[in-house]
Amino acid sequence: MTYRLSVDGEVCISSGKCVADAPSLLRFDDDEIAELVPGAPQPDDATVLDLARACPSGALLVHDAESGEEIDIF
Amino acid sequence: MSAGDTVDTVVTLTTFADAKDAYRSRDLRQALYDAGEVVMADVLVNPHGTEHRDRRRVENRMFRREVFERYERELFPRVTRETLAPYQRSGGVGRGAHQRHRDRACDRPPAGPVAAHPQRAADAADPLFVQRAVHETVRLNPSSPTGVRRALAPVTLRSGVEIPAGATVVIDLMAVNRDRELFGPAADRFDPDRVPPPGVAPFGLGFAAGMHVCIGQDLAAGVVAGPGTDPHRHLFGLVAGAVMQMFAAGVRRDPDRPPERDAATARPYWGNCPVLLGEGAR
Repeated sequence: MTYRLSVDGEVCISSGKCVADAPSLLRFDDDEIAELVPGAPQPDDATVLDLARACPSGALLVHDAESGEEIDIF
Repeated sequence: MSAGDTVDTVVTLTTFADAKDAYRSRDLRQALYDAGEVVMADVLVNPHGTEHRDRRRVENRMFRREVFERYERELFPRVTRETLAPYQRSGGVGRGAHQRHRDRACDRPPAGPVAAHPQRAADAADPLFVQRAVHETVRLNPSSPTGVRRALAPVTLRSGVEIPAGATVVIDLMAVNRDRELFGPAADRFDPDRVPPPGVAPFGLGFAAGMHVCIGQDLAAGVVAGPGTDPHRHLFGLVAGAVMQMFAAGVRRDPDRPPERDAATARPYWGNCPVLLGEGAR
C-alpha cells in the first residue's frame, strides 16, 4: 500500500518536529502551521508513518494514496 | 441519562492504546489543574480549547530544534558545570540548605541505572546508553504519573471503552507505560536496551500526547535515536547531558544517607537524594 500524508491545520500546534525532521517534505505556512512542501517527492511509507507517529498533536494524518481514506496509525 | 447521573463517574484508562486515544480526543478536556481553579481562574494561561492551541503555537516557536541545539551544545553544559562546581568542592549534594532540593529526574536514585547493570558501568560514558536509561526511567516513573481529562461529550474510544459526558477520565501512566501488549512480559523491568514497537516512544506516554504534550519533551529527552543516528549530530537531551556530567564528577550514592521520598506529595518523588561527588571514595 502507498501512504499519503496530510496536515490537519486545525490540530497543528506548531511543534516543528516534522519540519525539523523532514524539511524537504514539510514547512511552515505564514501562520507557522505545518504544510506539505508543494511538489515534494512522495516519501516512502516508512517515512510517512514515522513522521505521523512523531507528531505530538496528531495533526499529521496518513491516507491510503489510492482511496484517500484515512488510516489508523496507532 | 441526565448530567447529574454521570458527574461522579470516573473512567480509569490503563492501556497504552486507550491512553493515546484519549490524549488525542478533542472532547476530553484537560482537567489536571481543575483543583487549582481558585488561583487559575483569571490568569492569562488558559489550558483549554483553541485559546490553548493558539498559545502553544506561539510558545512552540521557542521550543524548536535549533533552540535545543544551542541549549544542549552551548548553554547547558556550562550551566551544569558551574552548578556542580561548589558541590564538587564540598564533596556532595543534599546537605544543609540544599537538603530539600527536589530532583524529579532522579526518580531512580543516582547511579541506579548503572548499579542495576554493573556489567554496563562502562556504558555510563556512552551518551546513547545514558539517553536510553533516561528514557527508560521516564517510562517507569513519569514526572506526572496521571493525566486527567473531563468529557465534554460522550466519547467512545477505539477499544470500545465508553466515556459518558461529564465523566472524569484518569489516565494511569504507571500502568499505561507498563502495558505488556507493547512492552512485553518484562514490562516492569528497567531495561535501557529494550526496543519498543514501531510508533511507540521508548518513554511511552511519559510526556503525554496530543494538544497538551510536554512542550519540553525534546529539550529534556532529546531526539529518539535510530539505526542511522550520527552521535556527533544527535541531540541527547539535557537530562542525559546532566547525568553524564554527574558521572564525570564521580557521582555515587551517599552510603550513610539513603534517599527519602517527598512526604509532601502523593506523587512518587524523591524529596531528598544525597549523593557524593569527587574522587573521595572511588
